[in-house]
Amino acid sequence: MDDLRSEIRASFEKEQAAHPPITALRQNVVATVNAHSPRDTNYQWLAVAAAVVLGILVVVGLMSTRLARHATMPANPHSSPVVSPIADYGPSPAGIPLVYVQDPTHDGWLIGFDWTGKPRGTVKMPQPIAPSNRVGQSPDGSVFGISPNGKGGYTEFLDGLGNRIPADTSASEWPVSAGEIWADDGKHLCVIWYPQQGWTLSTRLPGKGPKSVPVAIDPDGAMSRTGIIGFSVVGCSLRNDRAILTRGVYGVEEHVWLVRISDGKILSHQTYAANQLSNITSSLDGSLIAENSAKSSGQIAPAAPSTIIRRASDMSVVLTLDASTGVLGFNSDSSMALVATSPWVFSGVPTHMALIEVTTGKVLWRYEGDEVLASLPLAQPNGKDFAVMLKGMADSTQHPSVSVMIVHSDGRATVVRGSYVHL
Amino acid sequence: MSRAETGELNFDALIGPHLDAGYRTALAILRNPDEAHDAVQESALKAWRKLHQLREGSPARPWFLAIVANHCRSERRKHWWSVVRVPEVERADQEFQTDNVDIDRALATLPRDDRLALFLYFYLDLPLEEVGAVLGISPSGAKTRVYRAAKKLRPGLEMD
Repeated sequence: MDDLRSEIRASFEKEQAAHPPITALRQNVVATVNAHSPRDTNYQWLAVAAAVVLGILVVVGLMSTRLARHATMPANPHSSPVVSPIADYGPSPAGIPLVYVQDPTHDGWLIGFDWTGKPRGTVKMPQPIAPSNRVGQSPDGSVFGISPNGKGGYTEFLDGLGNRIPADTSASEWPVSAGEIWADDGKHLCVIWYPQQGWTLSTRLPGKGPKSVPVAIDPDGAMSRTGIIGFSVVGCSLRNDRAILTRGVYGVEEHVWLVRISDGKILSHQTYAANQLSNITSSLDGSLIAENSAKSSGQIAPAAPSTIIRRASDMSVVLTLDASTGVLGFNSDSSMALVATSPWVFSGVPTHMALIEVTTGKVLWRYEGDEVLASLPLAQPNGKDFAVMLKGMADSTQHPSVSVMIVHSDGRATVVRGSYVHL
Repeated sequence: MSRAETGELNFDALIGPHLDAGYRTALAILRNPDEAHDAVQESALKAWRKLHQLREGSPARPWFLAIVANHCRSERRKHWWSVVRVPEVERADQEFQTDNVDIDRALATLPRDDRLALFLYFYLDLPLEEVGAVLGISPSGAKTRVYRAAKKLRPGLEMD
């Protein structure tokens, strides 16, 4: 108990030491109270009324300046590296989904945590991750993709032991879009790109050539000619043979298409007026989409009056949320959504989050800490949980120092000790 | 000396020594120094208006800290409402793993009243009677609250 007392005291002390009270707090407060001191009983009501008005003004002021104050909040004092058990956990076990971060003390080592937060394996890459390279893991962590300089698609893949996956040299063309996402089978990648024959939806296994179909999302080339492309795949379900494609460009109308992956047929197409949405997210199986109001990213006006979760098949409404709420992602069975309740895309604003049930909107868990999301959440393969990586507000590096938090569908959260490095 | 002047002196003598603890409590709840300073100012005004409710001989510290805590809870509710409106705001307790818990993060994600109980007991070193008074529960309830909150950080914990 004494150890815990010391730890708790130290933790609060850190928080308090960062923001000590102003030196003349007592004098100021007493002076303010004295200023409100009634010399005559009849003035008491006046003082009360003034205090009420003052209180309302304070509340209105706080609400109206909330964003501005957040923008000036200091960096999280807890974001500096802390002592953590760093070790070589041996080869990662096969068949167990893992969430990977970089070992902060060994270049090129990746530590895999299982979905209870336990370290289960260490992947030793052939060489350290270059600061400018982007590395992505497959949903279960069995494959890693490397994108040189963070631009373009993955050009190299490693297996779950860190061995290079040889590339299929017979493939004639390789997708170059940076917007590759993992399909719901956790093995294929999906991408929309523009080889010579026009807009093309491709799926591929790491190291293998793509399987492609043309998609008539811009048949006359009008959108492409603007020079502002903005097409991306936000949902890709090989199980349901459905992909969700979007075109999201700030200041112009937004599009969302439901497309059959096997033949590229457009099953539905929806447009939205300019400036209404910040983005569209999709469930892994492509059955749900979330239309995130522009307000969720901090845009004051104009913006869609609500953030809406819809069934992609018929666009019927599943759940309506406040416009300041943005859906970050859905879990694997689409029963839960992790939402941001603060405009997290703005640097300097802590990411406040909530876990909600999609069908009821019931809030199961909240996070109101001082840190920001380092990347979009990862959904547990064949499970219900989310993994999020949080970083300090001041850390804008390509590979920030992060901690891992597993958000369980029953409203619990498991926080992994330490300050690791984002892939 | 007028009655008002006497009141001012009484207020300074009674509440003045606890303003620092009031600010620290507000900071622990709101986690924003500007809001914490506003909160302690507002709470001091409320305390001054309610000074007659403080019974003769009753300790002023838990009474004032309870006002601060209530004010902060009220502010937090306004903030949450301004941030997101969802059909239900029920909060499930969060539990944490024994070995992998970063105490800072674990504390940050505890339910607010649990966190406040730990703050009052472990940081401000308030006796359980005063912790209970601030939280509006009995001393035994405060002990349970502190124990339960600490157990979320260390599930195998035995209370002294």
